Amino acid sequence: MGLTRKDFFLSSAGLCAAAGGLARNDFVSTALAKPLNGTRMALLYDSSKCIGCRMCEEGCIKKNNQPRERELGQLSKTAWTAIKSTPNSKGKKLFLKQQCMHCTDASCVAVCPTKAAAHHGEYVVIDQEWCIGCGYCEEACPFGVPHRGEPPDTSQKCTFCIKDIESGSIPACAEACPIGATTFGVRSELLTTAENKVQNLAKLGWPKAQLYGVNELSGLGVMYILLEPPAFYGLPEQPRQATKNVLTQWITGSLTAAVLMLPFWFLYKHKSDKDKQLVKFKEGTK
Amino acid sequence: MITWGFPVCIDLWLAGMAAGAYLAAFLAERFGKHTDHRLLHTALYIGIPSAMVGVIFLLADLSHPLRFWHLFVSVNFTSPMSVGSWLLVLWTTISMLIIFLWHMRNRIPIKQVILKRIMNYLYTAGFFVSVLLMSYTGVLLAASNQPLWASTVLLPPLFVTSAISTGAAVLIFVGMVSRMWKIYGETFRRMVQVVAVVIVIELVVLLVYFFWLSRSGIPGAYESMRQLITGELAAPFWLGVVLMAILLPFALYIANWGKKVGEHRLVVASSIASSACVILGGLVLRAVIIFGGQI
Repeated sequence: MGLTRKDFFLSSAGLCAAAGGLARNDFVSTALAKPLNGTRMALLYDSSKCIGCRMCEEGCIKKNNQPRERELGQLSKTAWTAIKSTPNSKGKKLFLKQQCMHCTDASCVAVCPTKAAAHHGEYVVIDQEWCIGCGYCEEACPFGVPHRGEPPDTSQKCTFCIKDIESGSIPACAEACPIGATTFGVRSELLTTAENKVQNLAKLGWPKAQLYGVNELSGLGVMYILLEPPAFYGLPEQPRQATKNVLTQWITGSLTAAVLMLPFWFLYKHKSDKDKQLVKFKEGTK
Repeated sequence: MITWGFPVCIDLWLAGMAAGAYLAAFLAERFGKHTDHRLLHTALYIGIPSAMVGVIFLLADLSHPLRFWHLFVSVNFTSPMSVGSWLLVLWTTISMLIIFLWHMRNRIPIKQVILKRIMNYLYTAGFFVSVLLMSYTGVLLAASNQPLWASTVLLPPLFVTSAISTGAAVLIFVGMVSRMWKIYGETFRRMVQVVAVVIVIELVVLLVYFFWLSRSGIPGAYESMRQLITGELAAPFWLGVVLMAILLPFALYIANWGKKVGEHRLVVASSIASSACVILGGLVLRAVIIFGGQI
């Protein structure tokens, strides 16, 4: 019952064709779905305006009926937005509103094994009824956003108040901000405003002021006007989608197995096992 | 924060070992021109329960284990966990089908020639699925944003190398303990040599992986690597991985390099001991990489 070379190659060709066909499907799935209302909407957070009052946190808590026990400045399964404060070299506290960035190339969507994390329009939402709580989105998110509690629990994060948006309202954090540091609007319009603001900030003594989220991960749903470089706030300078190299990784793994066939080939090709003792398939059959 | 703990370590170790044992047995039979497939079937008797236990550990790690079936109503091809779950099912199905057909070969009303051909296709399909299953154990971690796992493309090669060494080692272990070596003496002698070569390659891959991490310039990559070499995980890394999984078994394998398995009791005992070291070392390797990536 030896495996013939023809059988081997036929099977290989069949499997490769099947794998190729499946892989074709693959990398289209992470593309951003069409904006929910035809125009891409976004949040713009201006850290130069933020006074750290945490009203955005309060708005989020109320809207989502979350408990108030939380560690200040830290995202958690119940804290979907959190103001983090970092002192700069002059001792001035600079604020950053953390939350899900609703990435176009969202790692959570790409790695979610059940498709519970998915794009709804331009927003990334985790279906709580479908999430199995594997934690993969937590390992994959470049911003460390999704969190789970003790089992049984699902991955939790900001939903962009998608139900409110669908009914024509705006996200709770933007609504709660008393000074307009967090604004919701058409992304292209917010972008123009933000670019002008960054230019002004440079003139006002913030030479490192910059806009974050325009092109990162093919464009984020939450953009930041930062006074310092992203690393100062603990943001990744060049966030990458977790599955960016996944095909290369499958290939390197499989190629390694191919290379490791060599020791087997070399050591077994001249094998002089006295196979007379071996029970052959034919002998086993009646 | 530790998101993935010991259950994931055990799942990746067992799944890799099951696939590695299949691959080792398949190649030994293919290149050694064995025709009875007894080695391959032994690999399956080890691999099927291992893979199943691995799946149980994987499910135990879910926050909602009873929702596990959500994994199997769709496929997310970019998600290594989704693909890996399907690979595990596919591998187990093929393996069980092989065993079933083998045992029922005289009772199934199909011509023997056709049955042989079907089984040959299954053996080959099992080989390819094994390769992917071994790769999955590394790709699962590499497709993340943890610097230790994702900064290079060398984690899948490292885990594949470890899967093959542990898979071949578990075959040797079972072969020696069950006295299968009395029939397949030469096959096991060669298998011992294969493992000796593979663990050296594993060491080389590990060194290149560390070198690449240290030069990647990705924030956190170097610090994570230092956790393994001089930090909290240094003891399990040096004792469990470098010494137990690589150096000690290599020394034992080399000491018995040319000797026939049945030549001396010590050869059998040393093969059992060195294989046990490789198998357990494979678990420690996965544990230090998985925990190291999350500290």
